[in-house]
Amino acid sequence: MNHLLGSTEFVQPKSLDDVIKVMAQCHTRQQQYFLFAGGTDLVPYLKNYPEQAGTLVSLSQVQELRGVCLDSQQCLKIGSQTRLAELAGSELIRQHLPGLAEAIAQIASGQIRNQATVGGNLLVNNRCSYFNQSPLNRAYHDECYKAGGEVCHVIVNAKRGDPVLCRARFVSDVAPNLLALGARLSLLSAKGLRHLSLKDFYLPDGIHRNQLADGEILCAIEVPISPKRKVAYEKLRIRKAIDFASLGVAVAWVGEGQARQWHLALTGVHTHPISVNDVEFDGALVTLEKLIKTAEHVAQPLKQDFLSPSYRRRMISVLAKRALARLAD
Amino acid sequence: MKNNYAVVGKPTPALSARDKVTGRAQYTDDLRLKNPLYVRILRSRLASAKILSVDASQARAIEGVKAVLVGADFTRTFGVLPISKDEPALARERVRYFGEPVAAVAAETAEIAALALSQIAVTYQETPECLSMSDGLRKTDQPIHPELKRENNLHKMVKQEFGDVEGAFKGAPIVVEGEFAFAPITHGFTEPHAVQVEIDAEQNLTVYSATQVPHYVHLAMAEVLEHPQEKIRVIKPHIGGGFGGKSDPFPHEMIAAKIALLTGRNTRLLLSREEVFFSNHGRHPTTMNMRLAFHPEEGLKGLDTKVKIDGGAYASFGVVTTYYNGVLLQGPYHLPTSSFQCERIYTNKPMSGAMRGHGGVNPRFASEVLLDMACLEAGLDPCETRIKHLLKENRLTANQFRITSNNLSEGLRLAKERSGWRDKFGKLPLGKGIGVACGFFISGSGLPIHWNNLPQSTVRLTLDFDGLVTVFSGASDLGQGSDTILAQVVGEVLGLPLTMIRVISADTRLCPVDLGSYSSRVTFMAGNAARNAAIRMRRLMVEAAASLLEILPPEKVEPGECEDYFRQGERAPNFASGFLGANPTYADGFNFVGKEVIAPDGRKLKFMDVLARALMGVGILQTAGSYVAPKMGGDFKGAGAGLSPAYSFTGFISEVTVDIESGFIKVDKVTAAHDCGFQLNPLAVEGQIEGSIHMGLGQALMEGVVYEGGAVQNASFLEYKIPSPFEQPEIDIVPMNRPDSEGPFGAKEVGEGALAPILPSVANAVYDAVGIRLKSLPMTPVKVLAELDKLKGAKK
Repeated sequence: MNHLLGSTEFVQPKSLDDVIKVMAQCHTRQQQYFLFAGGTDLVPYLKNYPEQAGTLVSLSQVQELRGVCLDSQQCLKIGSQTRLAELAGSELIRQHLPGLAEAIAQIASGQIRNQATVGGNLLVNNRCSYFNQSPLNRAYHDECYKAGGEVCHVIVNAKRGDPVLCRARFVSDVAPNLLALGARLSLLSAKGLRHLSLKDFYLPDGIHRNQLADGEILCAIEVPISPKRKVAYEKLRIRKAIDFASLGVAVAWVGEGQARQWHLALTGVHTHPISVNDVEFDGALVTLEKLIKTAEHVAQPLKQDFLSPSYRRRMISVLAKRALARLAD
Repeated sequence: MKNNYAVVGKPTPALSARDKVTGRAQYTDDLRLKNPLYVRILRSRLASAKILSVDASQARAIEGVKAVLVGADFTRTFGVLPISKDEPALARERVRYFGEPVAAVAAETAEIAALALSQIAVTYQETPECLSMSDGLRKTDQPIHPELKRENNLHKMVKQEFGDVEGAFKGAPIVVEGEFAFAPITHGFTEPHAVQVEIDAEQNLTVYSATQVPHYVHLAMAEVLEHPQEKIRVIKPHIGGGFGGKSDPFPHEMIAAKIALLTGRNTRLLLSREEVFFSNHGRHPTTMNMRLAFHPEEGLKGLDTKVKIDGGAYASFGVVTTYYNGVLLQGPYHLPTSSFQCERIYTNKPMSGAMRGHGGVNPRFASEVLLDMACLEAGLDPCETRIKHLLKENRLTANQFRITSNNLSEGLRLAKERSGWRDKFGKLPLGKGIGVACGFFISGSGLPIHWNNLPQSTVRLTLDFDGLVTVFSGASDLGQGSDTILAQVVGEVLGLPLTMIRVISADTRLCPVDLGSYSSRVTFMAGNAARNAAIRMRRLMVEAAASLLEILPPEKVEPGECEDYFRQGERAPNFASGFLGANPTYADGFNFVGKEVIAPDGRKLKFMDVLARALMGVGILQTAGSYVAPKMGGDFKGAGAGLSPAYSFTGFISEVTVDIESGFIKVDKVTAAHDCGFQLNPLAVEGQIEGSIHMGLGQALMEGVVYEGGAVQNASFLEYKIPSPFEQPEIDIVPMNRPDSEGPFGAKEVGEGALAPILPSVANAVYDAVGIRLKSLPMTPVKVLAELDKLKGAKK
């Protein structure tokens, strides 16, 4: 594997403590490391960027990061290294969050879901047709910001110092679902454990994508559950398998009647997931339409995908209404 | 059609199926030659540039690097067609497309080779890129191929006209026309190109390559390397698909062999998926203007077509493609007048070439959409109208194609019934639609691309003491099952089960010359050669049986006048030259069945006893058979293009659902009628039809190579959208099994003809569903919504 990926070291810590130690050692030695979960996103990346040498820290032996359990406070706790296929097949998920299981079934392919992890999906790298290319293909253009260069081929007048430098798009399918469900993350580093709402986790730049600090690892995701908390997900893509989301729309609600809290979350149309919520007023459709309008306003689909930006923008409302129809079933 | 066949006509799994599904089959890169050098190719990062210098001194200095090749190491260019050998193994002086091979390194390990590649310094001087066909037709003093001495980048222009086309248009009650555009698509075969070269102390080369035509690789390599033909042997191991993309000789083959000669070492080279995209040879990006003159009663009166095809940087099969865009419009309907003009234009992009349905797929789309429009304008049923105007049997077309059998009218009528067309066409709710389209295709090209006196196919048989028959054929089994077909043909004639037959194919040392696996020729041509060879073998056995029974052997059967023999191109069997005829009979009064030989008087002999007698004094039985297409066609320029001894005919009825909110087209069901004559292997026929539909739907709905300037932006199977199994519709294949007069046991092609009609049948169904005419492929949801918007706007 080393020669293929250009990395210098491959380690397989057996416990979370050891992972933290390895990251600290890398930090001391000023050595780059990559946490290696399922590898379905990392390996293609390293093939395209073989000069990104570093330590690959495999998480496959860290059993404490794997599995789903119900904790006392009516909350599901999902280990970050739970494979997507395991998660979708978990009895607890099927019982309490069937919408999430359906959403996961729409990710990539069976083989990839057997390998990829839920944590890896939340942290999946942003994508751009200029960035996800081999060295030869990139050599046709000047290297872009995200690849370490000094130009953006999508927003041609982007310059360093801009609040958002890179427009590579966010593509996780799990994130909008967990956002709409109000999930929280637990992050561990040598400094200790911290909790963060998923909503506050992502940043608006395609390069500095989230709040995960150097030396920190995503341990678990906590999702509150109740019979009145439901999610439905619609994914736009040209093929019904394999493809990343050209657009993904999750609609969720919590509670009933006038007190019902609505969530709408999008993926694929910005550098970060888009999440909006409101309390129900004037019935379901009106509530949803208001949320759609807000989300459409935030969405910034760009020319980085098979399907055109204007088309993807137009599909936000179509998909949201379809998700609602499934939710109401 | 009733018959008493024991082997042919039965659904038969491919001979290699078990080895493939259990992982035993060895593909080119699986082979382990002794101590090989790993070869990697340095590719151009520019689409158009002069090469000022290539400095490989640092690369050569790396320990483990055994050879570095640059353009100057090759003196001769090559190309699959003898008339357009314009491609160098490594670019010299200039690069013409992004990804073109510029240098190659051979090293002890793949890692050292990769490192050495990064140490080669190429100095380029950028030259203007010509990236579109309109650019290519503009005047320039820097054409991509200066050797053509043109002032633009036109590669080939073809014009043909048959009958009074303008008169037909003037007199026609209905004229429809359209402007069509087709995105570039590529084959997407599973196995990337790969080659391994074994060299011995006498400089004999054994080249293992994933190729559709070992013979062409053999010829081209001898010429490019200036190495004697008899010192080159080309073998195709198991191969992971071709679809036309492995039918040319390739630079990587020349490079690996050249390094073997220079170093005396075995070599191996495997392209990455990205490199396969850069090598391309896929379907030409195309723009097309077409007009159809139509008469409600008399049908098609005239067709006028103007085509531009984007050839990319080199010729490949391009001259043939240029012709096929016109001549493959001459069927499947009676067409009294037609004219076409096709221009192939060089651009600074990876070259286009042959791809399944070669040159015929895009014009088929345009003509079938126009025919649909004409039918609707005339108030006619598109399905009935097509059936009515199909080419009749035993006729010549306006450009003198010889049509022998055509059973599509029966097949399409069946498809119409089984699909419920009558209750669906024009009657389904908004968003649901049904559409029809037809097509036809050659069963092998009637003319070879190399002008010589060799038969187009030759098959050699041996029958050894253990009763095993070995079939030697130069044809490549690409997964389409041609080895199985040859075994079936031989088994039927000799009354032997397939367990008694082995096929050794695609090895230029062991097998006689065959022009390879493209243009849907193998079943028809190699199949006929196999039948010829097997009949000869049968004669040897009949003579031995007669001697055991102490009776006189039957006289040689003279096939004589075949009733169905069509007057043009008739080629009487000739025992002096060894040709028994196309699909010759073997009614000798004996019956070979179940390892028994039954004499005309009913006495039974064991096959092995007869064999023992036949082997007395000779040791082994050997025969050969061949196939040469009859002389056909007119005597005008380009008359040879598209000539074939038989044509397949296809009609598809597609049912679709169009999501009017999202614009997504879902193909729900296809009812398929394909006339491939007698089905030698119904299981393979089914596979070819299903595979063709899957592949055609890719071009129809989603596939397209995306260029960003000269660079391929989606050179991966993630971003180049080949349909997944979820996109595959339900398929109902109509039973059709009527023999052709000249195919082996009456068989015709099924590998390519079954592709083209799926695209327009879907487009016509979309019109039935939502009333929009899509004329640009692929028919993405974005385009569907844009057309629906226009329709709404027009209604307001």
